[in-house]
Amino acid sequence: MSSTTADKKRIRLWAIFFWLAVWEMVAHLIGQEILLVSPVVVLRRFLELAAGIEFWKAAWFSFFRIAGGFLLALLSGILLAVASTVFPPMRELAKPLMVTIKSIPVASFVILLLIWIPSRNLSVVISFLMVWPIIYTNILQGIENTDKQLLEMAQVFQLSAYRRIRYIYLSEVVPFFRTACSVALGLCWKAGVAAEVIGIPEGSIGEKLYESKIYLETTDLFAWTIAIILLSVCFEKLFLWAADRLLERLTAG
Amino acid sequence: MDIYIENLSKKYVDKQVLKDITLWIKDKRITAIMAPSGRGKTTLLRIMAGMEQADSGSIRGMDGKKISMVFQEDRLCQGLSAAVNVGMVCSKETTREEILRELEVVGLKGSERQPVSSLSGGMRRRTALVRALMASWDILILDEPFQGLDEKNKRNMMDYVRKKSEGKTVILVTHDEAEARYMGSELIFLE
Repeated sequence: MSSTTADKKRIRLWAIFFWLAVWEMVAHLIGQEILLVSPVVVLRRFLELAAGIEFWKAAWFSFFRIAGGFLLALLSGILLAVASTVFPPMRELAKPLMVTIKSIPVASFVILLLIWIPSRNLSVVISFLMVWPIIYTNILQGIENTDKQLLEMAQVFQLSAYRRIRYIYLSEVVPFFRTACSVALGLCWKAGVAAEVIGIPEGSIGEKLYESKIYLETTDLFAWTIAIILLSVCFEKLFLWAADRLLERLTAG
Repeated sequence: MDIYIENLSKKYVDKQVLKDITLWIKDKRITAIMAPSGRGKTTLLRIMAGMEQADSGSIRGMDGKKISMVFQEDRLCQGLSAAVNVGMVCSKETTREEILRELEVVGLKGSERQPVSSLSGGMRRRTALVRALMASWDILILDEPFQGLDEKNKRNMMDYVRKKSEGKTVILVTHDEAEARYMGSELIFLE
């Protein structure tokens, strides 16, 4: 990526402060915390919450399940994409399943799953269902787009299956893998927490959000939302960093 | 063993690319196959390397032989370094130091760990040549191997290939007769 493109993608600090100032101003104009809380109050409440053990328990509860669902989907999505490449009927078989999962609204899944499984495990399955088709589709696309000339080169040099996977497929699939993870990581948190709000598993972030709604605690709602954003961003950065390091090691000589 | 190509033909849809080609390529020599563009030189090499099937005819003397090749295109993994691109075709016994030494010989010292996408066209070409020569091979196929190199590097790489392939079978396709003669090749002109 060129530095110009990176610059264009970067969020400027002054822009963040501008929107915080707008938020503060609008909150001040409305003057009712129940409708819109000022960012300063939200930050103060967030720090209060973060000082208590309940906050970390809820954060861990949701993180463990949503990240777990993501990792399960990642692993099975990659395996299914490889299987679909090696055994084409598998691809035909998987296609209607993936289209169906992508088309069904999260709320429908949540309600259906609440009948089948305990609400505490709901976010694992929802996170899995949101991520699985994205990973599968992108990895499959990456494998299919592998440069045919490189595959011919591998054929001429009689590279082993291990070397083909390690050096050719892996380096060709990486951009697709990164894009898929980037999209899926954001989505699994949104869908996972939404599922928790509907299923209200005890001790989850979703339950806290639900309670904020019931008791009209708008400040808590904003503070928990900040917590979700931070968890989501930290997990995304950490995961992509670890994945990049792992791929670097795998493709190094 | 010499290589005998007999009555080889290949047709793509409605275009006859090779028609009844018969060639004799001597063992342990450099043989240059020359012809104007579009006469099927690359197709012939692709058939010899096992990437294509001929419609008819036969090739004898290549069975069980290990082939190495420099393609018309570099065919390098762009995100990987020159050292890794070379290393992926080498035997397990080849050490990283040996690979780095060879890259240094062709003037790639300091660039061997960079992704090849960041190297110049000439550097990528030299990497492709080192890769082909460091693989384990009995027959080396070179399809316009020195294209894209400036005169100085071209001369250096020709000397390098000659030295590394001494006493081995090399099939060179080029449209440059001077290049073929410098390599000390037997010349075959495809009619």
